[in-house]
Amino acid sequence: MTAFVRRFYAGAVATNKSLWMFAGGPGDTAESFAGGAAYFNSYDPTVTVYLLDQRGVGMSTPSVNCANPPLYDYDPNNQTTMDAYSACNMEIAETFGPTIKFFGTYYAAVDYLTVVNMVNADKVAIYALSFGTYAMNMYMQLPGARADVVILDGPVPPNRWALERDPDVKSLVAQVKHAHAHTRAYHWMVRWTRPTCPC
Amino acid sequence: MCGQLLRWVYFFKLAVRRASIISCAPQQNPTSPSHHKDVLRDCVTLSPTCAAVLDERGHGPKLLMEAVVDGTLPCLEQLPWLTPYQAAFYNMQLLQGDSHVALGPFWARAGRCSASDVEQLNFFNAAKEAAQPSGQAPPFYTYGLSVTIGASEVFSYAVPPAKPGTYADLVVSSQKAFATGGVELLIAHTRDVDGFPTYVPDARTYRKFASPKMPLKVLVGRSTRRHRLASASGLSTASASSRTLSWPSPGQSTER
Repeated sequence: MTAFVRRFYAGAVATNKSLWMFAGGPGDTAESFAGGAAYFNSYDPTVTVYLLDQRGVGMSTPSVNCANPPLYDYDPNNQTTMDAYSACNMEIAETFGPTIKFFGTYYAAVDYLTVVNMVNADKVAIYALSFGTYAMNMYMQLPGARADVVILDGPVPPNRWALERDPDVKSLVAQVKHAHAHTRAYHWMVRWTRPTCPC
Repeated sequence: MCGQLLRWVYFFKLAVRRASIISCAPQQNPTSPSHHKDVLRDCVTLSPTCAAVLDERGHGPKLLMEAVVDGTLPCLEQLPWLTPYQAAFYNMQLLQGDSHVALGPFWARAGRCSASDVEQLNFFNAAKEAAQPSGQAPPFYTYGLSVTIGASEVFSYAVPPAKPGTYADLVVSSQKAFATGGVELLIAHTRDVDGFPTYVPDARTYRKFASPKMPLKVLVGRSTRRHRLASASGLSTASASSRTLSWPSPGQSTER
């Protein structure tokens, strides 16, 4: 297996102050945070941002996918589409067999811990979004899990269905505010990473 | 196969690209980085245009987003790219960094829907699309792993009423929750499609809460004031040193 990690830093060399960003999904790659990484670098050049594609996802290999994965054209009334989904699923099941369990979130958390330890930065800050918070909850249960500070943004609870909420307009307001929370999280993180921060 | 994990580190400098288009009130826009904390509030406070269209609390985008989802936005036919997914994407993208100055004007234009607004919004979208890197881009989403983990773990215990009975209901509810594109697919998938791979999650951590020892902040999608109240009541853990992690009650959590 190969875990794909990319890092962003402003100067000539990576710094010892690390920020790790756990992507959502499941299935999203850390590439979605590339813009945020550039923002952090521009705001605080002493931070090095690390983005890891969870095993089975994105540029990490092997990819848990079929040769021709379906697009977002899910239609339960279209038998052709449904057959395509089923065929893709069966191809994945056949390819990976019982080893598919090793692509579960627990092993993703173990990967994160392994890579964090490999980098061995002086400071470890972790920002996790959506499903990334579910993975982060597992990470924090691992013996020796490292983090000096953690932000869970839009948490997915580990013990109940994440959509257990009122799907009316009020929830939409909350979602707009949730988008605001992203910006607040960035500021909170930046404050923490400032050399003068007492936290 | 999974016993050995080889790793390598790949890095590159990202070329920052910007697309500036229109402004609420150019002489008053909060362009300094110190104004990132509440974009809409700043915009409606400083700009009569924003205040008139986005309302005093800056909740206009919520109503406009409803109009996009329901298809009732007057000029929607002239903005064929403004799907619910794209609207939600722009909402998130425009809140990042210096792009925030475009969020208010974006929705103000969408709400007013004049011929000039349509022209400017189409120009904006075209500029954003043109700014996308060319060539082979890294994948943003991996279907197979998404379905496998979704069906085996995080979406496996979806139950009614949070799990609507029809796919159409799922689409509407998830779009209104900005969850377009994944959740409704995954839930419906586990019900409608055959053959998806699943596994038994590792019992050491599955459905268990961590007991974090480090400072930890949980953002649950409420306003700053409510967030502070939630933190004070223990619903949201702002500093969770040696405390078992707790989560908001149903109705308070958000997901992407």
